[in-house]
Amino acid sequence: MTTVPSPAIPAARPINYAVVAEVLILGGTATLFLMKWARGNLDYYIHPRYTILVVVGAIFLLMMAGVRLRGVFTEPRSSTRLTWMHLLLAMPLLFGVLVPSRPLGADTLAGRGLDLTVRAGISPQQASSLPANVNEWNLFHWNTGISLMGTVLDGEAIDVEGFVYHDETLGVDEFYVARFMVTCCAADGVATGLPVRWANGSSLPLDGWVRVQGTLVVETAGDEGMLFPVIDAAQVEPIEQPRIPYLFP
Amino acid sequence: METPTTRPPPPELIPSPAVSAGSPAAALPALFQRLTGAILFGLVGIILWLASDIGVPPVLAPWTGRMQSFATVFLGIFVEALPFLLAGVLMSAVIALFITEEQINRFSPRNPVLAAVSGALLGLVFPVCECGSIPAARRLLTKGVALPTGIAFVLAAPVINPIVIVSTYVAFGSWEMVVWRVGLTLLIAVLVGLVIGVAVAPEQVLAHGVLAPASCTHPDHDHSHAHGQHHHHHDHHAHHSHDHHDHSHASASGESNLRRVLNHANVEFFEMARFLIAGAMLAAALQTLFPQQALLALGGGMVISILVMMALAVVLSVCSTVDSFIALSFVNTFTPGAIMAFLVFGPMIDIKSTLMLTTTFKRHIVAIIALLTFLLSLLSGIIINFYFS
Repeated sequence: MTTVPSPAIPAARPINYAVVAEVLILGGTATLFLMKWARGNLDYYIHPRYTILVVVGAIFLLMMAGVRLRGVFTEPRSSTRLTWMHLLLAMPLLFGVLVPSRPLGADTLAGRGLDLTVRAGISPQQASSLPANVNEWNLFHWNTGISLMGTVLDGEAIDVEGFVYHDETLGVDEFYVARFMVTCCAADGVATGLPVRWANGSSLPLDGWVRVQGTLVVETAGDEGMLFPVIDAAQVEPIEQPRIPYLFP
Repeated sequence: METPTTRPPPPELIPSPAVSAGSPAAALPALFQRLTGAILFGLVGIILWLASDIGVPPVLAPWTGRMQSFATVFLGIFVEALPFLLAGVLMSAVIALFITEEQINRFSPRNPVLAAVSGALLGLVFPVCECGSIPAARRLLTKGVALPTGIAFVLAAPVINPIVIVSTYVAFGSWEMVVWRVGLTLLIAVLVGLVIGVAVAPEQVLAHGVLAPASCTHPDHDHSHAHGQHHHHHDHHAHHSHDHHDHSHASASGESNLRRVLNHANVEFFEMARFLIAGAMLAAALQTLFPQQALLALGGGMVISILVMMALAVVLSVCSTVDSFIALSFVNTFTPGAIMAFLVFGPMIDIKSTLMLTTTFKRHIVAIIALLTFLLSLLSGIIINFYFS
């Protein structure tokens, strides 16, 4: 951080720009993540349980930047030069500043594909973590529940929030309501979702957040009893993106 | 720019990458490296521009969203690893400044097997994950720790430490998984540490500048200025060893211990962070370009499923403190051997840790470590699959 008081300038030492760059990278990266934290955007990148670690890390970076400041005037230019390496080190800062903060959404899904097989991987812990009251279930709970109980849930009233995702396999009157589940950071985000039947559903804006209320329909097909759940929507209303857009299983 | 794709020159021809860069014989590879560097930076620049959505023409608009999700994944991996990397460089600075070679000599076993086992178990005392174990191991090796100890530590510490043992137990809810994970990691780390540590001389294994302090005066010091990215490292290293030799009369220099620790951590942070950043970008790019679904669709066979989970561990590049929770979601779709290979191989080798290992070991040694670890993890996975079915 440039706000740290600089030591007295010894005579005849030119400013070492490579060290200036290092101070800016350290201080800038720390400030970037502290700002994202202050605005609540840090949750787009990592699970909230790591927020405290990032804040402590940012403070440590600021301290390193403060100590490094002395070198701006004392270190001879020949010892540290500005190189491409500084540009590489500035990448998190550049991406953080120039790219608008956005959570994983429909664009990520377009690259990854909606992983509807999520519900195959249920552990006993996850099953027992299902809230007793069905009204409190989110998309992850519903998918877990469907894989455990199957057609028992057919006809249940459902009320979920998520972003809109369109897939070419769906009809004109259908769309997916989806959410990303994050275990640790955005890198491990996996989407969970359910198809929704809603008149002209394919015209809803991609990535827009909606609240879907309706009835869950669970059909089986084939000899192996494959489950085909779908929400028969009674109401679909656009909502603001939740402050924490992810689900944490 | 050192790119992971450039093949290192044969060691017998050129003693170290830093020297190679300056010698006339290596002028062509140096030019090639620069060209590759320029192309990569150009690509990253285009990604950055598309993601920033500043003056992007409508034709390219669909790419903006995808590149923004690249940015989110890249920053996600970086910011998740950052605190752990900082903990590692902090620990390394403390080892460098406050632990003497005599102390290490007194505690470090001479017998190679004991040395490797003690290295593998050192993580119980220094709880670091893969981002932290590399700077800590590098510092221990500079201080004269035996090679089998250093290699076994770097491989095993990310799993055999209290935090990861607890998180594995919490995720799976059974000690059986913990025992298998820790046991296999211990076995593989000790084997790899022994194979490389005993068969190859330290100066053939360690990267330039990681040798014991006696060899710290760089004869090629001025020479290395010719090569952009190396001089930074070297000069600081020289600066370091200076600090280090002075440390017994620290009070005379007037520098507070905190300032010295921070300065030390700073230099090491810059050396390690570039590999973390390059690795995080590569992992994010792979995720953006190749849907994981395609990878997961392959899973199922006794051997294929293991390879798929190992590939997934490399691509995800997540920290060992949390990977059990990720493995958990694959328990019902993948074979037990595949899950175990993910839990054992992932913490040892992934994109970012492989790049970071090149700061400590010569590049061909990193390749051998990665290959041995890969084969042993695969073998463990196959044995588990046959044992349990």
